[in-house]
Order: sequence, then structure tokens, then C-alpha cells
Amino acid sequence: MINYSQFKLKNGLTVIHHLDPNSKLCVLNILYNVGSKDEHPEKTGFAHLFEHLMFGGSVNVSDFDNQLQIAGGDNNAFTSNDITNYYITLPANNIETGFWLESDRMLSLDFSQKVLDVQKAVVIEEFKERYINQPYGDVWLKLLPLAYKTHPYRWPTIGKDFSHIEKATLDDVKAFFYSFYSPNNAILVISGNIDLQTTKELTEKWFGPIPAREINRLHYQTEPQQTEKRIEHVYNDVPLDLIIMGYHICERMHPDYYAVDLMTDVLGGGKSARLFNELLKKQKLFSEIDCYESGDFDAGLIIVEGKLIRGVTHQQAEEAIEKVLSELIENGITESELEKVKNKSETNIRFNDMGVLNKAMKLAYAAYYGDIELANTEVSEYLKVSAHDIQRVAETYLKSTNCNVLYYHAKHESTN
Amino acid sequence: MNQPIRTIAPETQKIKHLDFPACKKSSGKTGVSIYHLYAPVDEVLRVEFVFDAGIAKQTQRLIATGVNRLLTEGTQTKTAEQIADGLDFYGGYLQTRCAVDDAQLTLYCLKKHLRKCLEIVLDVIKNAQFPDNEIDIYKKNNKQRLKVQQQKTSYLCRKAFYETIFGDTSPISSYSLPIDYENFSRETLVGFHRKYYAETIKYITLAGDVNDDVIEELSQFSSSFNPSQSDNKYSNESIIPESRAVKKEKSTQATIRVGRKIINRSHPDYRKLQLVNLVLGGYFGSRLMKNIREDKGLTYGIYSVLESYLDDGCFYVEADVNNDKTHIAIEEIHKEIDTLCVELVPEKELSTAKNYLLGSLLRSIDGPFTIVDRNRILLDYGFKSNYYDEFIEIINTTTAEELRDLCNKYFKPENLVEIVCGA
Repeated sequence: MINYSQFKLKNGLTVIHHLDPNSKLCVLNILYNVGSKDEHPEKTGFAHLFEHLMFGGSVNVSDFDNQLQIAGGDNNAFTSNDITNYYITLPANNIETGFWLESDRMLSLDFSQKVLDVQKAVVIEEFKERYINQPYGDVWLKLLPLAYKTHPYRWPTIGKDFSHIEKATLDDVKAFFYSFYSPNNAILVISGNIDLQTTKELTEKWFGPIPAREINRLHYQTEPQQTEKRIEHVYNDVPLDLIIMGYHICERMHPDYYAVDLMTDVLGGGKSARLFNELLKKQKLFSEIDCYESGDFDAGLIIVEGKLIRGVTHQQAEEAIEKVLSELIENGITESELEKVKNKSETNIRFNDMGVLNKAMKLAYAAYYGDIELANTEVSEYLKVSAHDIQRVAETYLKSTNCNVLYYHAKHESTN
Repeated sequence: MNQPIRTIAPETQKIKHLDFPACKKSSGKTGVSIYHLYAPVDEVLRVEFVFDAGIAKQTQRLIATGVNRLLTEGTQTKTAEQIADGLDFYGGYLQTRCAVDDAQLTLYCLKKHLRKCLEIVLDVIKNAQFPDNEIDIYKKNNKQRLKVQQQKTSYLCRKAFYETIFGDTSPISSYSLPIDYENFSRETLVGFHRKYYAETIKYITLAGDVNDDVIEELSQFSSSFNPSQSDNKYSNESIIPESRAVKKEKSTQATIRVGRKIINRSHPDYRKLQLVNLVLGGYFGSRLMKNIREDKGLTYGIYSVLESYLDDGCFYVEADVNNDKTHIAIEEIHKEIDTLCVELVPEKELSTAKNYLLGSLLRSIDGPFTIVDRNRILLDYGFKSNYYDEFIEIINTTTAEELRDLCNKYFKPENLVEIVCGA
């Protein structure tokens, strides 16, 4: 159980407070409702590049990181398809430094050309390090545009291509800032050893004077229902063949979500899961296999991915996976299998609810989803799922006409 | 209302006390130590079973990790699937980990299911069978994984670095090769298991919603083992490390490591050296990060690291950069170290680094699991319980002159080797 209070400033900033008297720390977590899905299709990767720029100096503070380090604090940030999240951890008695820094960069950035140039170079190196210089690093760059034809989930957060990042200008940066980085487009969570009254005073003092701004969100289309299976072949200099299959699922707030998530555990969550036991252990077709959902707010994907044992063909691998899925669709799951995945979810959730930072992020996400109570009701939502629900969602979503397959072909050396 | 002054930083306070929370200790009937730490986290428990079964104990590559990974793949009465299914049914997560100095199983579970989970864990540790079929699967799948690893410049560079500074026979550079899977027999695994897991245990840790019943449960558990006695000497050949390049065709970036063998945590200079390392490359505000990432944009990240093992240690700087930029990067790394050897760190930079280091120490004891992790360092190195409280005092009183002298003593560029792995 995570206790919290919630209030809103006049400028529209949503504030959530959680007291943890046992901690010596305080966390300031701010979630901006902007992610890569809000990017222009010709300027992809921008939300993430922008996240880097948020550390490059604000209107009154030139050295964000340095000021935080002086106060003994640390910070980081991440960008997803849906949101951009920034967090600061400080010794509890120095938390005002966090308010100062975080509110100043919401007030306005410094918009420096030098910072933009350097961070473009850094992000391009990040693109290379994670997506090009790694075996299979480009899987998402290939799978997403296969699965999505109109929705902006068709490009990954790093962007379609680093030429988009190279082209970013200071005007783009300013426009993006004023379109999205506003109090009325943000959720602030203060968690740790700080009382509610102090939280209210500090929030009002530092964030209160920042004006609300008009949010300029690009309109985007929902993904039309897929009507036939899509297959693509990729050839690359990797040592093993890989198959990756993506099935469209419901959006995060759809009533089916919890059943879908438990279904991925039945199929792929660890060593007692079906795909692992049937295909890796018994049939020995794969050296690794997993199944998970993509964790998006709009309609996302269930991913099944596996590395093939040398000598197994993509077709064999795909048929074997489909057989496990049809078995689930036709015969459903047993009560004990259901209890198992529920128990696992409960442990998982309870372990995740530890530490002031985890709790802050959980509250921020729940508020972003539009139902802050979710931070506490999640376990009971999983417990409500029935075996029948799981069979039903399997039938609904694991259809072959809903599937996108990438055959990733290795370049095999001539001898073993 | 209180109007904010945005051009001046709010006042801050220094960290002067840590009040490091020490674990309590209980002993089972046979004398096995159980270190426990209570925290108000409803139902949540983490139990670590630590064995003197690290890589340092193996006489053949891959055996220590192999045994550790295959423990859960079948006992006299249960198949791998039954073990996994049994734990999963009670919502338990069992992780295995094999490091240079020890090996462990970690159980994450809810208190209400502890007894059921412990039954399975005990069976696994005492009665692991290493079925041939599971060994075959393990070999085949890990050989495939190794092929993927061998495509990564970061992996190849790390391996070459350890081999260069520690030599081929040190457990730290014991990276498996495809050939090791051929010499991997059930008999060797069984022998290693008998010797290092089945009868003796190093200690048990317990963190979370701990009460007397839980301690009693673990005490019962521990009576199936005797406490292990172990020395921690590595086989050590004397070598003269030399810089080298490792070719990796068609890579878009190269991984570089610049570093050397160095003192470990047991040495009196170590805590101060951590501060030197921090200023150089240990955090986002470090000189390397500011120069090579934030000023020149040559890399996504550059770090310097001190790694401590019970009987050895090393220092290195690592970054991924474009193939044609490796010379500039290495030159800049040397330049930054040279500067630290000659010029005093300005007062403001020094106090920032100190505050950051102490802040990160505070962050590292937020929550019962990380507190136990810190306690284990004290246990493993035989430090007193005031080690971290002393740390604060030591860091707060270290001078710029001491940092310069330590940099000269340990980090001088002419003593460092350079490993570059790229096209």
C-alpha cells in the first residue's frame, strides 16, 4: 500500500506526495506527457534528443548536474513512446535544490547552440552504440514499421534514422519546449522523508509562478485493424538466426490488459513457462525464447522472440510457436497455472513497491494513466482475471492475421 | 508568499553522519551465520545463500558457473520443470549468480510462502543431479550465446583487458571458450557440487519483513550445512602487461579500455583512491565525462572504474567511440590523468565530488536489500562495522594534495595499458 496525497496548482501542475519517514532521501520525479509518439514523422528521435538538452542549462542555472552534485544528489531521465520522465534523488534535507533546478528548467531552457551540437553528436553515438554496433540491435528499427503503418509507434524512441537527429535546429528545440514542457502537461511526485505541508510550500514557491502554456500536440491516427499476416526477411552479420513475432494488443487502460499481461507470463515468463519448456527444453528448437508485452499506453504489441538452434529453420520455429499458441487458444489454462501466474505477479508488484524512487515512479505512471488509485489496486486487478479471460484474450489477439514476423537471417560460417 | 530567488542556489547541508545500519547476526545449530535486517516492507523477503563456490575455486574453466546455473535443473526427486513450477506456484523467484569470490542463490518471496519455497531451495542445493539431458541443453544454448557475445566489441575488449593485466590463469580473466564446453563433464560438475555446495555454506543473509519465526525457519535450514572455511588466494603468474589492439571487422565503433592492476579494498589508500577515481571519471560531473562527452561529443558515455576482488583489483577507463577517434580519446584520457597528477583539484570541484560521493553512499543504503549488500562487503573483507561511518570522516578530510599524490602513486599514464577493440 502506497499512501499518497494529491493536489493541483493553479497553473495546472498535478502534484502527488508520498511520505516515507524511514528514508533519509527525497525524490523529485517529474513526468512530462510527451514521448516519441508526439514527434513529427520527419523529425523522429526528437523527444529523446530533447531529454538530453534538458541537462544543458536553464534560464537561471547553467550547470544543472553540478549544482545537484554539490547538494549530494543524483539524477537521470528516460524517454519512452509515450512520456519523458526525469528524476532527482537527494539527501532529504537538501530537497529544495531539486525544486530549484527542476522548476528552472520548466520555466525556460537556455537554448544554447553549442549544447545542441554536442548532444546531437552524443545521441548519434548512443544510436550507434545501442542500435548498430550490437548484434540484433536493429530489430526494433525493423519490426516496428512492419507492425505499425499509421500510428507513430512505427518508429523507436531513438528515431528512424540518425539523419533526423543531425537535422534538428534550435528553432525545433524551442518549438518543442513551448509545446510540451508546461506545468499543465506534467505530473510532479515528491516522495521520501518530507511532510505534506513542506511539499505544498516548496511546490507553490518554485513551480507556482510558472505560467500554464498551450499544448500543441500533433494529431495522429490510431492503427487500423491488421487483416493479414506480414512477414519480412532481414539479413545481417549476426551469428544466430532469430525469429520475432509481434501481435497487436489492446491499449493499457482496456479491461483486457491484465489478462493479456498474465497470458504473456503463461507463455514466456521464466523457466516454468510454456514456450520455454516446450520449445527450448523439450523440442530443443531454441537457445533462448521469451514472450512479453511492450508496455505502451496506446495499443501495443505482444512480442514472442527466440534465437534458433543451428539447423532449425525459421519455418519450423514459427510453426512450433504457433502450435503452442493454438494449444492455449483451444484448451486454455489450468486453475493451478492461473494461480501460479497470479502469485508471481503479486510478488513482482510488492518487490517493485520498495524504495522511494520506485514508489515515486509508480505514482507518476498511475496518474499519467488517468487513475492514480491504480498504484494500489493493481494487485487486485490481476487477481480478478479468470482462466476463461486468458483463453478469450488468447483467441482475440494471438490470431495469425494479427501477426508481424521478422525472419532475421544469420550469416553462417561454412563450417560449424 | 515566499518568492523564489532563482539565480542563487538554495542553501545545502553537508552529510556528516551516516548511522550505518548493521545487520544482526544469529547462528544455527551447526554454527552457520545468518545475517538479518528488518525493514517495514509488508511480507517482502529476500534470502541469500552464499557459498564458497566462486570462479576462484574451479580448476577448469566454466565449472563454477556451470554448477551454479545447473543447480536448479533437476534433483533426485524433481525435474527442472517441477522445480521451476514449484517455486513459481508460490510466487518465488530464485536467481543464481556466480562471481569470482563466491557463488549464491537468491530467493525473493512473500513471507507467507517462505516455508514452501525453502523446501525446494534446500532440495536443489543438497540434491542437485546434473542430468545429462540438461547438461546438453546448457552446453548447446550457451555455446550459441557465446557466439553472440563474441560479436560485441565491449565483450572482446573486457576479456582482452583482464587477460592482459591479470594473466590467463587468474579467475578474473576466466572467460569461457567454445572448447571449454567440450571438456565439460557431469563428473566434474558433481565433484564441484559435492565439495562446495552440498555440505558447507559461507553464510545466509535475510532482508525485509524479518521476524523471529523467519529467523527460526532459516536457522532450521542452516542446520543441514556446516560453515565453510576458505582462503581467497588466486593463482597468480607474474606478467608484464602490454597494450594491444583486438580486431573486430565491420564494427562501427571501437571499445577502448585504459587501465592497470591495482590495490583492492583492503588497502588503506582505497577509500581516498575512490575519490580520485570519482573526480577523474566516476560520475557525470567527472573530468572525462565533461571533456570527452559533454565538450567533444565523442562518446555516449565514458567512465573510470575501480574494481575490487578479495585477492586482487583493477582500475580502468572505458568508452565506446568511433573507430577513427580512438587516438584522440586515449590522448585525452592521458591528458586528464596527467593534469590530476600535476595540478591540485580546485576547492569547489573537490567539495562537489565529496558531496556527491557521500550522497551516493546515502543512496546506497536506502532500502533493506542494498543495506545488506553493503554489510556483505564488511563481512567479506573482514572490516569493522564502523567502516562506512569512518568513510565519511575520511572523505570529508581528504585534501587536494593527497589526491594529487595518490594519482601519481596509482594512475600515472606510463603504467597503464591500452586495449582497443574495433575495426
